[in-house]
Amino acid sequence: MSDTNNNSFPDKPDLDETTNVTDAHTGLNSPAAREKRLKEEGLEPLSLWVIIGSAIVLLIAGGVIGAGGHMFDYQKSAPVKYVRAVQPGGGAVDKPVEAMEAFMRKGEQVYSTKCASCHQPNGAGGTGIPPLAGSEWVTGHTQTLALIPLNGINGPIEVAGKSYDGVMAAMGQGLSPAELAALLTYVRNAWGNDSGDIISVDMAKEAIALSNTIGAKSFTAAELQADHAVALPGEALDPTSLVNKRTLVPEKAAE
Amino acid sequence: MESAPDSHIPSAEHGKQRALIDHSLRHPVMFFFTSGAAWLAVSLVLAMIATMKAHSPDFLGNCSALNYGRVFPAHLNTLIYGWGLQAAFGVAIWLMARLSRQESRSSVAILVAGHVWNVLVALGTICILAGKGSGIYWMDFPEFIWAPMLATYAAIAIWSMIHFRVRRWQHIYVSQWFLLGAIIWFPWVFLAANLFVHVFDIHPLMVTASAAWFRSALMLLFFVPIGVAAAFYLVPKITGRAVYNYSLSQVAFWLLAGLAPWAGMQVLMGAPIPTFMPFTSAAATIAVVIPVLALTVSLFKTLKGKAQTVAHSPSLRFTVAGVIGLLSYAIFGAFLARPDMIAITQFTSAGYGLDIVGLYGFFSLTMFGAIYFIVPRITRREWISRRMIRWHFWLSIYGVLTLLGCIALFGSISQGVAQQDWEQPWYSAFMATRPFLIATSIVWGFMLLSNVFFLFHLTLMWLRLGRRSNHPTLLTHDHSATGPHGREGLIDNN
Repeated sequence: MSDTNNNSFPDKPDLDETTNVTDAHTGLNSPAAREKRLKEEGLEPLSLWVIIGSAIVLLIAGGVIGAGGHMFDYQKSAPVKYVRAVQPGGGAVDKPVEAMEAFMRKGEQVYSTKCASCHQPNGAGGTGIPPLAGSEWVTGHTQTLALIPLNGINGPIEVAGKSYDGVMAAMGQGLSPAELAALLTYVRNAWGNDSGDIISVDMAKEAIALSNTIGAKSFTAAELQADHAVALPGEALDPTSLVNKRTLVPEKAAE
Repeated sequence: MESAPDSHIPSAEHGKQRALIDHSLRHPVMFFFTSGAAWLAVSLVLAMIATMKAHSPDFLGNCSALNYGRVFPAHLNTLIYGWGLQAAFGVAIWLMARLSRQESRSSVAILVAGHVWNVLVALGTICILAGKGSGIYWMDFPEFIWAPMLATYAAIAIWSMIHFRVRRWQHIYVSQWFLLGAIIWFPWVFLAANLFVHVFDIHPLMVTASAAWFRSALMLLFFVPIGVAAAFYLVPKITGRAVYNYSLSQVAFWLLAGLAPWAGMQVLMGAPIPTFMPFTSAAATIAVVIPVLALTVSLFKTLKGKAQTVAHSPSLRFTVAGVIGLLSYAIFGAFLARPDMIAITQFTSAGYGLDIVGLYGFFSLTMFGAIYFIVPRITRREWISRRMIRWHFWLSIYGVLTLLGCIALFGSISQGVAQQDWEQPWYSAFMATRPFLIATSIVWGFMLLSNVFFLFHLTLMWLRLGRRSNHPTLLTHDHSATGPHGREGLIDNN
């Protein structure tokens, strides 16, 4: 630490590993030397606003604790008002939706699980399988249409100008009235079919009842045309009315 | 441990003492900063890929290692363990040595441990990308990593505790309070959380609760005190003033220590855990605003009237931005902790947005400030280009602000509100955030650009290619005839 050595290069920064650090850093302009000395801490009077601000924060925090309610009741873990209101029946409250939209949405689901593998998702049919799009059997009498999936059909049939001869099993057995109603409405209104009407859940109930009285009998096209070329009993639904989107039962608007 | 009232010692002696401390720590500190900045670049690239994947899933094809579910945790964990902890190590060991007036005698051990840390982070990241991550938010590295990580941490941090114990200067600075707190709290938080998550056989809900606590505790009990320590060193140091109110800062320290461990579980509100857990956490998270307010007031009162210094000094500029980030982090955290807000934002990007505000808007900015201060001292070179510093600063600031808007505020709230409409499929709620996601991936690009400036600059400094001058690199606009940095000093080229 010779002062004479340092003072001979007052501005010299140390630059290399070989530089003697202790000597070089007494130069007035090296980074470590030009630093200001860290002062020991002051004690200026505290601003009132800090205290007021802290008090407000504390109030809000206390309010949140207070909102917790039954804090240590381990049977009730969900806070009050946090879980959505539940209907007396058990399900959540459904908002009513327009009938045609609800029927078509549900019908598409049923169609895709029950029918689409043969009749194709676009209803165009396939080799030996009649199309549903543009089929007069689909858009014609509703009882004819309803009995095909419920009882099955076999033998020759002419659809959209072409002849087919095959067997279709009773694919619609086990569908609920709402599902059947949605399915029939869907095929009557999808892919360019535009009957524009809705087969209500009541009509589907009638169809299922009719099918049950007939029993396990597969129809031919001729039998259907002879005995069942009528509309299903019951009233069709107005496409713009409001229904529950799960049960498809008409409802009044909530608000 | 002699209490030396060293006011009689000439300032040349102080300079020499500082230089010796800087010299003793130059290798580990520089290693932590440079490798940390490299991890930050990796993390930002991963962040960009993750957000791109979120709005255009076909980006980069069908490579499983680059799927959102792997890239996103890789991004967050490299940000935390690759950049965050390494920057904290570098700043903490240097600051503690300086404030305790002790040279480091264990630089080689720290350097070796630093390399081990990097290997562990790399291994963990590769495991995440290979699909072997633990899948727990903020703790995504596979199960076998945490124990060696904790041991490595001990090998790095223990020396700073020893420095404090054998300090040559009896007065304890505010920074030392916070540094020591962070150094002690990290192993507690890390060990406790990992034991509950990985070792003890407890109910899965409690695993989730422990992980939520870890995320908040690591932030409030490690990153916050380290950043605060850096700010409480740099602000008085550069302005040459005493800290506004020492007692206020001390009270803030103890309030943070008392409140922060309760915070974190509010994100599980509505989950089937005892009600007192989320509600106590929510209240604690809100109450953390009090110590943060006290610290912020203390720092800004110290800075009062020094706007010019803040504008000129890169270190101070970043630090002040970081302190504002800290206040925003605390207030935004409190805002999100209110039960009525949680109901909307719980399953949105809001929590991640809060992480980014804390990790980048506060912690990274204060670390950048400290790095701009420390590096010229340990490399004995000045920063090369103030233009690069300026680009780094403004791109970071605008980036953080846009991310705050896109991820944390408008993006998450629009997603949350859309999710409330449960008549609609969830996809439409996701589509509500799509414009924000696209903006976010662009912003990550700008953040990456800012970090490329920083990393490039830092690497040049590491290679000892910094300016050989005795004029510091300040962000002034005046140009003299002799060059942007003023007259060059005498240069020794021997």
